[in-house]
Amino acid sequence: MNKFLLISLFTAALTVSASESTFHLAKELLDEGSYTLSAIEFRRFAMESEQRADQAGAYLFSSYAYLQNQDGRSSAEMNDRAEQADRDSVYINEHSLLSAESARIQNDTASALYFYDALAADSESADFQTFARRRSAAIHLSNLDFKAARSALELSPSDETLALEALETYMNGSDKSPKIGGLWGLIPGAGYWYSGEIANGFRSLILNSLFIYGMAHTAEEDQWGAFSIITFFEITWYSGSIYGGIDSAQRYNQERLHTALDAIEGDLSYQPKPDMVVPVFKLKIHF
Amino acid sequence: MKNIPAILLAGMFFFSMHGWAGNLDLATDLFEQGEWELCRRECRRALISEPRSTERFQLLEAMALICSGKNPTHAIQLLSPVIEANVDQEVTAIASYELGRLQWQLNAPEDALNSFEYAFASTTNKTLFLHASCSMFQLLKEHKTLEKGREALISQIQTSRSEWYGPLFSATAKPDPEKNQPQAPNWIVRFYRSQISPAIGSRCVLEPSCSEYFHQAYCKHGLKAAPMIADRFFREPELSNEKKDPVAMPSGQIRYRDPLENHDFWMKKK
Repeated sequence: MNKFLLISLFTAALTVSASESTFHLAKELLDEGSYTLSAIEFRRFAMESEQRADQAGAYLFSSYAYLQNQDGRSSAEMNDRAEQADRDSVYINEHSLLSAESARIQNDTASALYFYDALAADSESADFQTFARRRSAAIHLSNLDFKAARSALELSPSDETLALEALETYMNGSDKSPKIGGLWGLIPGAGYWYSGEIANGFRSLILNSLFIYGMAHTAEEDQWGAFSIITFFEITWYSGSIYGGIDSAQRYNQERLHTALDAIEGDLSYQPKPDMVVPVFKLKIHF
Repeated sequence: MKNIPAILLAGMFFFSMHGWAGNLDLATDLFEQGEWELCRRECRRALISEPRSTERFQLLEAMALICSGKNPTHAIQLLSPVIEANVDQEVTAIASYELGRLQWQLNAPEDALNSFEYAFASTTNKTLFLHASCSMFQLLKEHKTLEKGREALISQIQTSRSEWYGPLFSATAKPDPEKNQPQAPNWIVRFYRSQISPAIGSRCVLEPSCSEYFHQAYCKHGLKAAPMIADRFFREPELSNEKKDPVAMPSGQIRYRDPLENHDFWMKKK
């Protein structure tokens, strides 16, 4: 009987030790930025663990690691598994946050907004609420829904003066029209000038002028072989000028939006609390 | 106390079985996610540490290897012992079907037909049954000479024909290892890289280089790549002062990040 007890105790201790090693390995891989490998080790830990609470924590870690690797689909899958294992609903905020982030990465803005709103409404933590409101405002702004973006920021428990100012600046500014940019592009270089890219415009003008001169000169001299080659290149430069007019307007608009989004979101980030022991998952928000 | 070594050994055995063994569920998950390399690594870990249920891991590793499009000969080496061991009829049937696909790919049609026939005859899984029958149909269509003396088999194949569906034909068509390979650069890029670039040296200060940018744009947008590359020449950062996102290259050269995504995010894919 004693022998059996001794074997059981020893094997139990070894199992716990092996699982702990897997967990620590996963955390080390996470810290060094090997996110996919880390996510897999967390999954291994969860699959080997008998305790549902341990499984929930490990799957959340795995979901977090996949998110860091910009793999929204796998992150959502791990988060679902964590939710199934989390019978006592210990991780409500974490589930909402990770669901929202994985939906955001997958460009599913409707789901992301739903989860951010749920997080802001359910969480008692001001950090979680601020995080959710800012992310929500950023998504509304990307959808050009200024009213919703402003109300999300106004509901934030933190001081959002700078973010609201950035929103106002964006609203008061105006986008460049890609269609007009393209039309200006018919005059080589003017498409770039329309979006404020002066040097690019001059380069386009000079190259197009040189090749148009080459075309005219070779035609005058009846050098039709050279004319064909120069014309081929000139068509490329000229189409590039029109395309550049459209693209530079698009880039101008995107940069304007990103400037506003950066001001709203700031250095928003989150990471598991470093002092967490096996395998509790709690997030710390950074602004 | 004299039994302590035995207890230690028992504990170590338990430890090795449950602590570090590869996990079939995890390997299967990774396979379903399309993480071929990670799935293979998990199978290898299991094969090293776990002497039991070897054939399942071997089958999974071989399938991951096949899906990654690498080394069909190595995949055959992994599948053959699974079939020879014949521990689990269903596992053997799947292995036999996959072996048949590889043999077909390697232009061994008769061996492929025998492997498909084995899978067809021994499986109890309807999906595999239909795949095997449709594969044999397409193989026999391609190699008419194999039909000789196989009238019974052909009539058996015909019995399942009413259940074949559209996508099954493409799923069971002759494996084409080139299909999933990245598209080779077109002649303009090849000519530039082989004749012009070595003469003028690496001049591009953007990352990816202009030839790579053109190749990506051509694969994604076809002829629109011409104005896109012209636009890129106009945006030369050395002259326009737009030195954003510097990247240090392994050679020590500083380049500026200018990926295709920054210029086609507003375009529809071809």
